[in-house]
Amino acid sequence: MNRIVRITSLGLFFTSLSCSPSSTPGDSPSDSAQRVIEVEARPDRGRSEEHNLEFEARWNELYNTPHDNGDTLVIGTIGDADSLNDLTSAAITGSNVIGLLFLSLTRTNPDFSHAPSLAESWQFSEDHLELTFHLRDDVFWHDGVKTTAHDVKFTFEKQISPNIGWATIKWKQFIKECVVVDDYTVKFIFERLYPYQLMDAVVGAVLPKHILEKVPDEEMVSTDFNRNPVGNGPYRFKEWKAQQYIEVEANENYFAGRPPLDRIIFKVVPDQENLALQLKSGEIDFMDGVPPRFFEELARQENLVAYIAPGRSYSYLGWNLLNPLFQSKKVRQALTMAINRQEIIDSLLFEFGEIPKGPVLPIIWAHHPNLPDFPYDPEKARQYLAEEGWKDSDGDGWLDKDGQRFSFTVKTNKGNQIREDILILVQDMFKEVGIAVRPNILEWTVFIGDMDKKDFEAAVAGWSVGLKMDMTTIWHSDSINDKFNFVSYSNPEFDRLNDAAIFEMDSEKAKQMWWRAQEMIAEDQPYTFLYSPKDINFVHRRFQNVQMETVGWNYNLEQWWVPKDKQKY
Amino acid sequence: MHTYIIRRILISIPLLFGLLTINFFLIHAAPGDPTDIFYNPDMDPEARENIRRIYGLDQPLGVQYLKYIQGVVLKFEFGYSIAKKRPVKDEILEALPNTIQLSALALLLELSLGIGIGILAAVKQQSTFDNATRVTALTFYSMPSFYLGLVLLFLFAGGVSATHWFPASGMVDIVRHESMSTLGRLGDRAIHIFLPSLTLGIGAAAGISRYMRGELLEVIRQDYMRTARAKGLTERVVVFKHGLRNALMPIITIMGLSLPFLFSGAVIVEQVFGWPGMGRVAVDAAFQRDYSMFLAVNLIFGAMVVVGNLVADILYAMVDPRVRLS
Repeated sequence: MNRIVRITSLGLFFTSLSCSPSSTPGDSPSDSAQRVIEVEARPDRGRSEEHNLEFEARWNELYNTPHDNGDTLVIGTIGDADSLNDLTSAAITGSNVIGLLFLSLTRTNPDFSHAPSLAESWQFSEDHLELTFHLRDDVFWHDGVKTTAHDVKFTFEKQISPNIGWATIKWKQFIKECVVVDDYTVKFIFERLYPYQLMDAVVGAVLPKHILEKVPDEEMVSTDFNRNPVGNGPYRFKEWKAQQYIEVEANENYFAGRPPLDRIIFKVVPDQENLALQLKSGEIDFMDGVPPRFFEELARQENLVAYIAPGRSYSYLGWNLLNPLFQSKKVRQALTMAINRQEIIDSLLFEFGEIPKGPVLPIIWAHHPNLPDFPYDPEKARQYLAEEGWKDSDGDGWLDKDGQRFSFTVKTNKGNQIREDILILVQDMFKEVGIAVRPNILEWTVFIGDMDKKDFEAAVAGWSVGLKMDMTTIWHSDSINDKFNFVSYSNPEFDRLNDAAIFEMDSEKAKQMWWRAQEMIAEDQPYTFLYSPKDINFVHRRFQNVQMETVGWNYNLEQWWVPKDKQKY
Repeated sequence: MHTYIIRRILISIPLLFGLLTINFFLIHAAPGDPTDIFYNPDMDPEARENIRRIYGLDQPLGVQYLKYIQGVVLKFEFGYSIAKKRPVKDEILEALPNTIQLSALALLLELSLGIGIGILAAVKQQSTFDNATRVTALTFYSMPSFYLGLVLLFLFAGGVSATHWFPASGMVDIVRHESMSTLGRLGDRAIHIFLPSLTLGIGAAAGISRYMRGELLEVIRQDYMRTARAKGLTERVVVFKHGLRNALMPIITIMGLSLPFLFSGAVIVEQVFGWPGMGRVAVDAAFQRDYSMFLAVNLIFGAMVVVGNLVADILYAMVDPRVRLS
């Protein structure tokens, strides 16, 4: 009986094991080799159109240094992919596999600048409205056909077709035309000048024209290619069993040389508990986005190395600004001061997170390092609220104004344990200052439906931060009705700044404008910015040349290798 | 008998049709729609509209319903899955055999364990074995399968390294399976299916064992059993030939009724063990509002219930000479 009780209290697997005060990352047990590696936050050079020769040299180094081929990497992933065709894929697993199977015109460097890939070089015209790419002439599709400029043009035309439904169609909105100059030269012509022309031109995997030209646009969503892709990247597609795994194998004819690992398998595992279990037992070799509660247990495993990368997302508590309760800036600032965000990070994220002061995270070039902040201070919060007329006039412990009690509902979505727990913590913290909060946890589709309809008072949600500096879809007043400005933030001065900054070609000037825009949002506090979690990854120790970067754990996945004597499979 | 079976199948057609119709309007009434999976700020509302139009979601509900029914009835087409980007039929044909495999093994476990333990407990009534199995059966019977699954995972699939005997998810060792011998592959499949089928079957086995014990004790007290013993037959012949056959009849009914529970149980067990079957497809389809997938999955579950009941009726007629199907 005692044993059964213990199993239950373990919460199965690791949950309560990690309730003990967590050791600081880097403070690993007595082991000579490094077990926890902090990924360096590279300053984002943002809109740079220059090469970064240092990163490119490092990238090319592997091909000149001796390494062993062989072995298999098993990557654990929660969701199955939906499609391995970049035109129709929406799930993250799909895009990770696509990254191995297909080449884009450029590759992303750790500092977010562009490195040559399918395109060897590129240059803008005098007026900066034409961008010409010079392609490699030694890249072959996995069926033996050469990749040419015609494929690039074909891909662009498919990406902008309204009958295909490519998810990131708006990235191509300012590209007027794609022109084939010769078999290995292709030119993009832009409608206007703006800082992200290069990024927009190269986004998306280049697809094989000779296969997909036979598929009518309307049938792209269900074509066989989605599940049997023919790419031109370092790995070629081998097999996909629905809900089980996707397997890719080394492309012997890859232009840069055969990638070291024989096979990479993406294994679909039902949930994070199971993933952590398999990581521990060696059934999988790699897992990204490890929940912080598993960290301590996994860090104790001799054969695992942890990589802690700076966060690329943040969670927030958004205030519905259409609601009379939240229309005063001072009230919103007070609400932020009533929340002990450090406690949330310490207790729910086991210290693997930071408090963001605004919506632009430090990894982005336009990040403002010194925004106005409203640190935890319940005393001051009460004082601010009193100034706005919220006082406990009837002595019942709750604040009220004009006979109305200060109370509201906070919604969030089911399935994200940290968000669900935040609701409980926040309820307690608000009680301290005399505000009554009711948590309401909803199924994902219901939750976003309510957000769309503005049917909420406050809500806990999150954003992952895109690489492009553009605050329109979340903060612009034009985005209130059909986009992602759920809280209905409306500030004409902000709108004006945002609209100008997007097209400002002088990056120093643009930075000043973005800084000012961030100051406005920090001051207005339409969100209480809760936390930005660090990204925890674990990989089996036998893999060499693992370089995880802020741009993604899979930055140089095609270059990982295992010494012959340590190969497992 | 044949006419009976054909009639039963014909009766079930309007039943399944009604099921399809109700499900169609239920899932469409649920908040959200399939394009919600494309919910991110990088995706323009325009792109979402494109997808809605490609899949015909922009049309009035009545039109969508007629088109859907037309496809199902005339062409036996179940449409395209928005979340999986492939015909619904393909996804189901890949998942269904896995669920049948799992359920069949669970049923086998349920019957062999349940009947075996039931007989032993009845024959050795009031013994330590009887008491021990009673407590064990009650424990497993009342334990939710997802919990049992998690406990088994923790104990035997890596949580405790000393007893790491089974893999934690999947149907085969995805890295090594290809290079195994035929025997090795069979063994590989066996160790992968063991924990999920045990989880799925053991609760029902516990129930069956209690029924079996009760029925057999009831039968053993009958006069014809005493007659058989008086004729000098061995205890083995008395119990197995005269007793068991009579005691099994109610078990068959229970088994027929338990088939739907087996399939719905599979939904949960597949989730815990990452078994790539219909259960996972069903759960994904419901949460992603993948309309055509959801409808097809429910239709198949409905059809299985109908078939399960029919099989129970036929078996019953075969075991009990007093029952004639007409």
